[in-house]
Amino acid sequence: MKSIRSKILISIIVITFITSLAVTVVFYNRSASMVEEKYISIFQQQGQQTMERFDEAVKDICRININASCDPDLKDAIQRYQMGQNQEDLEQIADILRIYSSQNKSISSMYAVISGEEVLVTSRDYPTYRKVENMEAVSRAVYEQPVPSLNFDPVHEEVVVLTTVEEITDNEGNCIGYIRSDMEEGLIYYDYLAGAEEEAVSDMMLLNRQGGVISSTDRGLSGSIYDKEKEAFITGSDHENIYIRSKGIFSGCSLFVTAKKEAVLHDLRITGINLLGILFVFTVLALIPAVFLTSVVHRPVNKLSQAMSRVSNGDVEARAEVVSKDEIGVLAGNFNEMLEQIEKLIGRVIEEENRKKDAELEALQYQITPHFMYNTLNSIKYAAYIKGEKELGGIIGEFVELLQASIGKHGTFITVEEEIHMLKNYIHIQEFRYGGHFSVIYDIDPKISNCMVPHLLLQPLVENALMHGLDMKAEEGIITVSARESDGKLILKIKDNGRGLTSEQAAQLMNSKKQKTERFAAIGIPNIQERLRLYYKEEAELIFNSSQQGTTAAVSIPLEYSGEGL
Amino acid sequence: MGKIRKRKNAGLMILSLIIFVTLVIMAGCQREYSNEEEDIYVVGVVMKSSTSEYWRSIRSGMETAAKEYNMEVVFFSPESELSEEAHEKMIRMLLRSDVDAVAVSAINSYGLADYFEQAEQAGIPLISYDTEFENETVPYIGIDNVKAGYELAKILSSELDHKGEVGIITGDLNQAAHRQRVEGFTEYMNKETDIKIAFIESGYSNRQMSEQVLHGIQEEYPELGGIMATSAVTAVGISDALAGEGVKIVTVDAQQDVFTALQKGQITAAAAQSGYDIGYETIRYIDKFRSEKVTEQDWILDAEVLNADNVDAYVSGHTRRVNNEEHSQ
Repeated sequence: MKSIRSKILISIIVITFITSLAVTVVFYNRSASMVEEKYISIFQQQGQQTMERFDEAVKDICRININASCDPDLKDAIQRYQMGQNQEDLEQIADILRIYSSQNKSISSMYAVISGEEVLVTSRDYPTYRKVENMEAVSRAVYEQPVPSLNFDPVHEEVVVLTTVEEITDNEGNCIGYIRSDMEEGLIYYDYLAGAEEEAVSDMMLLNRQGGVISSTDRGLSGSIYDKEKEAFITGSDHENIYIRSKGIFSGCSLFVTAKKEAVLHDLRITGINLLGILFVFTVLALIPAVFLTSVVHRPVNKLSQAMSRVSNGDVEARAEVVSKDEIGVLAGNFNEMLEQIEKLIGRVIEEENRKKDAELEALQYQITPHFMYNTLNSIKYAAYIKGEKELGGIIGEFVELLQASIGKHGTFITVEEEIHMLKNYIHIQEFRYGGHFSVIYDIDPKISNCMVPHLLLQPLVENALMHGLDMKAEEGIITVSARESDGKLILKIKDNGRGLTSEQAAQLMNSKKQKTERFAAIGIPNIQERLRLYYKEEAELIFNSSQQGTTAAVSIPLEYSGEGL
Repeated sequence: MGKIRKRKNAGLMILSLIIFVTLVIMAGCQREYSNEEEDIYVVGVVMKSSTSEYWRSIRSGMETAAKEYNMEVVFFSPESELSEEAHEKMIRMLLRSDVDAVAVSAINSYGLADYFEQAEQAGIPLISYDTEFENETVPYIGIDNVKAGYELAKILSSELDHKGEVGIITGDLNQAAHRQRVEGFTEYMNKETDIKIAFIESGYSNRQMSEQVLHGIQEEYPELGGIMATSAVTAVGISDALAGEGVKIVTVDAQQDVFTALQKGQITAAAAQSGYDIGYETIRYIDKFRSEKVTEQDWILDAEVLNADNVDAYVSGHTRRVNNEEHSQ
């Protein structure tokens, strides 16, 4: 039987668990979102600041480069060199370059290209100048690109630089050379990228306008073109990473930072696991109040259920214990009331029955009083004797005795001797009535003639023998009445030699309560059986044996001598 | 029995629905999002210098407007107003760098600048502010300098009872602003008064005249009644040097030292050219331009003439914005 207790318990646990789980998950996800957003915002700010710094540096370098290109001393020196190819002029140019390049520490080197000469002057200590082919064309090409452009250092060709180039013109506006300021990749990396690194950052890249890689955490990428199609160009996040893009306004360069969500959310994950642990602990703890709650509900229900079972099993006086003040308590109370009502109802019914019986009894008592009957009959008997009718008087006397025995209040039990005497009276009367004659043999063991038997025990059996067994006019009927002791029991037999009973008749005899009104007393075989059962329970018996030769009715009852208590 | 079973089924369905929804919420909390890259509109601004309050206020006005109109501004200025070459190179560099618009305050209004062509070829709008170009196709945002000179002449002349001598100390006459102020001033003086313009000294844009030179002028023109200095920096310097000598000074530009001098009476009148407003309006113009809603080529801003009487009201009542009603286009 599935108990309501387990249902409630399971419901409470499930609801608690699901609610807590939902809260935990939602909370964790919200927190993770918040942490991510914060991180993204911080990274963005950092990126923005870095790129602003970078942009400022590029702007400043452009400005310095332009100012340098307008420097009159520089122009003079270049023009002098173009005239005289004097090394001193180159030295002077180098000095000027050094002065300008020192104005911003982000300038790693400045170069001057002199038109018409294949000479490159540097701001470095070594070399100060050298011969380089094709520098003019290269410089012109770079000059025409948007600022700043990605290039290689003219002296150390494997070094990636960010460049800005300006024309140097004479007073007539003719181009006499170019001046160029470079930012070396290595310096850029350490000035702008390295500082922003932290645990969570997995990748950083600085790209220029055209998607060329200026610098990145993967040092090998510098100078190459980055594949512009990758989605990393958006600021956002996917399942694994957070992507931040910051752009420099003037330089058009973009800084891409990739951070692993794992690392960013690392602490939060641990907190999440802790939360789950707490969740389970609390779910288990929730069992305690759950069990308590369940039994609070279950107990009154259980009590009521038990009471109902008891009642249905027959204990009408069972009552439900009212232990709570809720609906169950009300139910139990009503149940008890109902039982009270039923009890009262039963009581009334019994009372009703008793009153009916009393009424019947009273009705019975409106009949003729026995005393009147005896007196009248006795008067008739004396009158018969006076008239000389001895036989008639005798019959009347026997009748009176029979009446007294059956109606009178002598007690339920009489001796065998007295019962046989009544039997004789009855037989006489029957002989008188039917005019027939039949023989009766009495075989009574004198030892037990003092034993007690219920009165009117044998009379119905003899009546039975007479009615069913014998043909009374035939004058051949023999009835044997025997009373003997056997095995501690008193055996009384009525035997006739009549037709015998068919099994149908026997069954009818044993079962039908309504007897023919011809009988002496409104009692029959079933009555005998009932009375035997009533007095002796299982220790008495009534058995019929029948054949074509006759029927024997045998009664066996416990042996009780008169004077012994019954 | 049927009813109970139906209720049981309904209950189970609701329960499984709740579980399902919970799972979906749990799973669906994959936080993925992305921001599309915005296209930033970049305005390259070349100034004449960056040292005076006036230029700083222009920058401030531009920056404020840029925030409001969702643009970014990058500023370049040469070492001094005299570096025409550097100034031009800066413009060219901006044009090469593919900015979205270029705003220039001309050092040489009258030269044949070929960067106009370069701008047109690159499809980058070029506009002028503070000082215009002679080239009519370039939009100008600033004050009417001719009118300013004219109004200042009126005031100066009335102070001098329409007679006497005055001098002009002006900036680089290659710059339209200065030239136009001189034009306006001269026009009034010559047409409406008997005042004689004794001298015109040029080259003093944003720069102070040395005391030596000043005294030289005083000696040479002892009858000098008034001076128009077309640049406030110069005017303030002169007013300090000539304090108490009864020479009336008029100038252009609204800066703090001018206000003080006006209040003290050291400067007689000043045409209030608000750098902040000019800067702001320049950016606002560009914004209108990019959404193709510009109806007028030039935006002329008011330059209220201030004197000792109204300077206080101007200072306290003047919000740092030009009245929008005047220029809502």
